[in-house]
Amino acid sequence: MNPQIETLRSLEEFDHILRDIASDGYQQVGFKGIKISEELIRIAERERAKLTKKIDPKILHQYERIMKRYGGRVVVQVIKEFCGGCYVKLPSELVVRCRTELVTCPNCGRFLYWVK
Amino acid sequence: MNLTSLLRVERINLDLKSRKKQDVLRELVLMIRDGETSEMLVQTLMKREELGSTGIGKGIAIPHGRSLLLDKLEIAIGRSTAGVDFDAIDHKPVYLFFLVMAPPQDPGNQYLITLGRIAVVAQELTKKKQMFVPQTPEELIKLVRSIEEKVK
Repeated sequence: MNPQIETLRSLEEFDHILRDIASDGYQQVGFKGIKISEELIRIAERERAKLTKKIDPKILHQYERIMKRYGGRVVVQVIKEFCGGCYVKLPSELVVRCRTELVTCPNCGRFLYWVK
Repeated sequence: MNLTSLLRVERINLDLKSRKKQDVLRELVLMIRDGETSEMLVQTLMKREELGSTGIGKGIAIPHGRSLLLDKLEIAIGRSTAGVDFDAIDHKPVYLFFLVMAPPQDPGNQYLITLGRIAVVAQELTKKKQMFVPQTPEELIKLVRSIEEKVK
């Protein structure tokens, strides 16, 4: 697995966790130990920075752009030979390359993640 | 929303062996995924714990997170007789764990609804030490069902 894609996966999962925590629904379900506070924001920024500093700034910019455009699902699994984000059929060579390299879907630009 | 319908006998372990946070999470995750993805799920849960413990007090924890590696909501339950130091908000050991994991996008936001449902059921399980009564996964599911009928 390409380390960059692995870090991008962790980053997206972390961003989803942060988004959940900030949502009204989450605040209502009774997790008293976690409230939006300056302390929490500071911890979240620190933890997020640990991930983002491992990513090439250009790639990170691309990640942020796709996140903004689609509101999530930036890193998607390849399902058989299809992009897990836009479901377009991918070229076979891309499906092979995504197992070891950082590659994006030629249609939607999402990062492709391959799992056995 | 019915929590009981999401529970599976094979995803309930009433005799967790681990005593440390990460080890307990691993033991729980292994009920829903094995192979290389299991460790990635453990790391996702640990990231969530960094932001604040999911130990909600009175011996209950609800570790949870979203993962790109999942395609549907997954639940596992574990109980530790000895108790685990989970940095819970009341600083007391945790005995009962509800693991909830979901994909980033899930239909109808079932994930948050499930977390809310578990929080309600868990509150009931802390009363009169009910969480320690079931001796089998089937008995635990039966107890959860009776609680859900009561708190409808």
